[in-house]
Amino acid sequence: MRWALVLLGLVVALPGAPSRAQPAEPAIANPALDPAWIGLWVRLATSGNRSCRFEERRYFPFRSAPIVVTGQLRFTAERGLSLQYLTPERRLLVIDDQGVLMRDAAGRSQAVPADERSLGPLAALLPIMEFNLPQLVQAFTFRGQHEADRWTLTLVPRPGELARGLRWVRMTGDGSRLRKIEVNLSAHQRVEILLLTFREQVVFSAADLARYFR
Amino acid sequence: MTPVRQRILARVVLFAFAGVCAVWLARLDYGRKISTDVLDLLPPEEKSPEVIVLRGLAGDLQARVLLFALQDSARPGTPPAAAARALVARLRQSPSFAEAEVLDGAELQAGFGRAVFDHRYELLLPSWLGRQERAYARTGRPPGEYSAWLADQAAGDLELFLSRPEAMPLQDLVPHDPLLLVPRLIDAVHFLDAPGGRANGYALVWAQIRPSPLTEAGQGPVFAEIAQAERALHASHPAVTVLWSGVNRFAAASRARIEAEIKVLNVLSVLAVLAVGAVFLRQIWKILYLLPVIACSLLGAWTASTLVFPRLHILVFVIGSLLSGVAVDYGFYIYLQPPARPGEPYADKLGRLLKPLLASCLTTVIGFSLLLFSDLPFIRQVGFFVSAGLLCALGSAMLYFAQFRHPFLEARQFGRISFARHHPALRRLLQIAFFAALVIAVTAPWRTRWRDDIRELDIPSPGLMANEVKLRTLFGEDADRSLYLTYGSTVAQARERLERFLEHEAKDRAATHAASLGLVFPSEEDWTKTPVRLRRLDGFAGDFRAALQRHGFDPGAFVPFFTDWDDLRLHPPRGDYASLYRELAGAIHGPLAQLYQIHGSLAYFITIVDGPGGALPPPEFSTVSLNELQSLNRLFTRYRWSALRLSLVGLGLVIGSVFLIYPFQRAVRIALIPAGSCFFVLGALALAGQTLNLFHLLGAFLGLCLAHNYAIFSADSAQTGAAPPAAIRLSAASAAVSFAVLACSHIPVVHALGLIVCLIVLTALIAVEWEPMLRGRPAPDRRP
Repeated sequence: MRWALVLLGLVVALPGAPSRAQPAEPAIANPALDPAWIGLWVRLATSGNRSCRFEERRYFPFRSAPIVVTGQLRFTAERGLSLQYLTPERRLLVIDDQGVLMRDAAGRSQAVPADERSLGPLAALLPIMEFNLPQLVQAFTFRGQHEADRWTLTLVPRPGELARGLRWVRMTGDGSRLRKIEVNLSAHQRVEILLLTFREQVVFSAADLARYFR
Repeated sequence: MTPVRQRILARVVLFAFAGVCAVWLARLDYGRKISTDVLDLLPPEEKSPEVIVLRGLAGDLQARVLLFALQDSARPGTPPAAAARALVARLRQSPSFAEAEVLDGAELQAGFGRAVFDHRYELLLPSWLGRQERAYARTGRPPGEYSAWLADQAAGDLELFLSRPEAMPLQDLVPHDPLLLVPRLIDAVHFLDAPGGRANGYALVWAQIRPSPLTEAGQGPVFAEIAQAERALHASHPAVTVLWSGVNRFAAASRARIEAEIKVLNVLSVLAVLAVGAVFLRQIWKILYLLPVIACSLLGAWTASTLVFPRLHILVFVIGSLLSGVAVDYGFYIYLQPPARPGEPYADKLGRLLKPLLASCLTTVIGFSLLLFSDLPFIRQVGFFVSAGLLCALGSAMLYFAQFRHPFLEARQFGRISFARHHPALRRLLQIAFFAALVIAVTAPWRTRWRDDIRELDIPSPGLMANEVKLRTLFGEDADRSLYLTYGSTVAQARERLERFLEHEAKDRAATHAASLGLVFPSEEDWTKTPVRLRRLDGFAGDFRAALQRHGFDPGAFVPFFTDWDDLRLHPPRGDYASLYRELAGAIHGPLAQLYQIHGSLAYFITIVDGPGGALPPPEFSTVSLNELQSLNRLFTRYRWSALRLSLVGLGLVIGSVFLIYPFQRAVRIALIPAGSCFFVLGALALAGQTLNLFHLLGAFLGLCLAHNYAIFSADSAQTGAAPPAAIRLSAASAAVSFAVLACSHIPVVHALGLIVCLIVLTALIAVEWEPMLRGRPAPDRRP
């Protein structure tokens, strides 16, 4: 993965590098003290273990239609985030305090250590799923808006390593339910993750923890 | 010849011998003659390339690597990159350092990554074309459909790749490389980039020294230069701390530990022997008269061994130093034997003692001489050293005591131990005990668990080891990975064999990754066939555009690739195969450069398998496991089996000789006491769950020789039921306490030898003392 980033570093200087544009939502000056948002933080941060089916749509500049992958997302505060890809290939991606672990269908694993430079945009996913506000405030500025029960929250990385590979992350939901995460990597590259059949306060069996987490 | 002339002649011979030995030893270059390198235990005439490669690799490359980790205590989360660069600049100025690199992943690998990307069509395309052509041949379809088939495969592969998590960071690469030449390489070699991977908050520096870390030049001067560099670093970066590790630190610590411990052990050993001497001798200072015999024995053994062998391992001298325990026996026996009559001439006394002396010495020499037939140099050296030392000990003892007007040292005899002789119940108990010991000696040694571990040679240095483990973790090394080396007489042959080995690995262990720097390069066959294969792909550009469209891609986004492709068709990569390696050589340095060798008589590629070592690859792959520990442990097993086999044959010869020299009944006793003691101790240790190694075995053979001496020298007294001669008691007690001191050593080899010899000597002494009581035949006590 780090090699990938090194090589990526070689080619991002090629024509077509993205320009940076700000999202349209109004800024949230101090999310920890903003009464319009604080209730949502509390609800999101106390949802416990979560599990849901997901559909991930990857948009590339050289494709007319997105690449669609589906799978099962699992999250526990102790073990991190697990993305079990089911189609078109079975793969497992675990993001936790130790970094990233990828396992293919044959059981071959690749581990990338917990290092912001190595993880790139993936480094943002874990604190987002944890709704760890102090950590998020350190790494991002916040923008957002409410429309009745629906809300949209956009996290823009502060200048630094993370901002080099990530423009913003937008989360959309209703009530206390997160529905979609949109990761914008550049003007032409983004990923949408639709969270379906969301379940909270899930109890994972020991076998599931061993199978789907590090 | 008159006694005076005999004395003069003996003195001349003795001085001449000592003089010649001293001159020879004084002129030796010990640095070249004596090796401390574990790898020198390997047989030099061994034709196995594994050994040659291992020796070269371990000695010349890996062992010279030093690892440094720097941390800024003021900013512990941020690697102090500037300090690391300053350290590297300093180390590069030092004459002892051949190379020094800051292991910043991006900095170190970007050059290599750029070179691979820039040369992807020369390096990676030939292998890709070869693989695709072979895969198409397996489909059995007509050649005319190849281009369309290949285009569809490539577009399908690209679509699938983009669904993988690892595709995200590589998407900018795709318009330039839709054939996925570079992403496939990244997938295949991703963990070769381990250095620096886990160095959270540390800046890492990798360095290689010029001199061998096992020599003084690779230790003292290097330590001084590092200390100087650290001082300079602290002046400019006061908050930065430096951790570093290398083989030279272990070697220096090991040497210091051995020197310190040997001094203490020697002093304690001498004190213990003096304490025993004080018990047995009325004039204890006269025990010092035996020192010249030991000195001559060691002098002779050193001289003969260094004369015969061009290079000797230090362990030979460690084990050989125990020779003094055996050599002193002859001195004790001659010196402590009372004259048969007042004024008995020395020649007469010697004539009387000659048979047991010769029997003891020559049979032991025959036993150890068998080790000369070992195919392993270390065993041969030990056999020769001990045999030469024993002959010198006997010769010098005979000549040395000829100097004395009264060659007799009176000892306290203490009489015979006879508690069981007059008590049938006790005698019965003793018989049961002897029977039980015999059962243990016969049955239990088979249960011995051997542990052939090269680490038995290590002097434990927990502090250094913890430091080493911490550094290796920071450098991303993983103990679960195994290393293999694929070699060939040319780089083309080595690459070809690597291909076959990797195919074998993929089939054999599908669930593990195998990465090799060799994957960056094509095989010679794929390289030379590339122009022809490109010519066959006339319509590929059109086919691929159509296939991309079908798979949901915008072919217009791939203009960079199609431009390159058209150029490739006009100017296909061709030329000298070796030039491929030369082109990339400038971009491969530091730890990465250790993963292959393209110059010299043996080319090789190292493969890292992400899992513990499995079965050894079949010989046809010309691939050897580079798990050094495993290889050396296997060698140790060979050493042990060789020593065991030859020791048993030697024991058989010793016993056979005894039966030739002595009447049957005496011979049975003389043969049983040493063999029984030895096997009893081995059996008892096996029952106690103690694992044994090569050094226990060599110690057992030495112990057997000592026990053999006691059995021979006590043969007369046992026959008459008298107490064993004081010489035997003194000799055995001295040997037991001095080896008991060695058993307390923290040096595993010395501990093993000390323990086993001490136990065998004690067992033999008990057997010699108590054996006459078994017979229950009262005999007169000949207390002097």
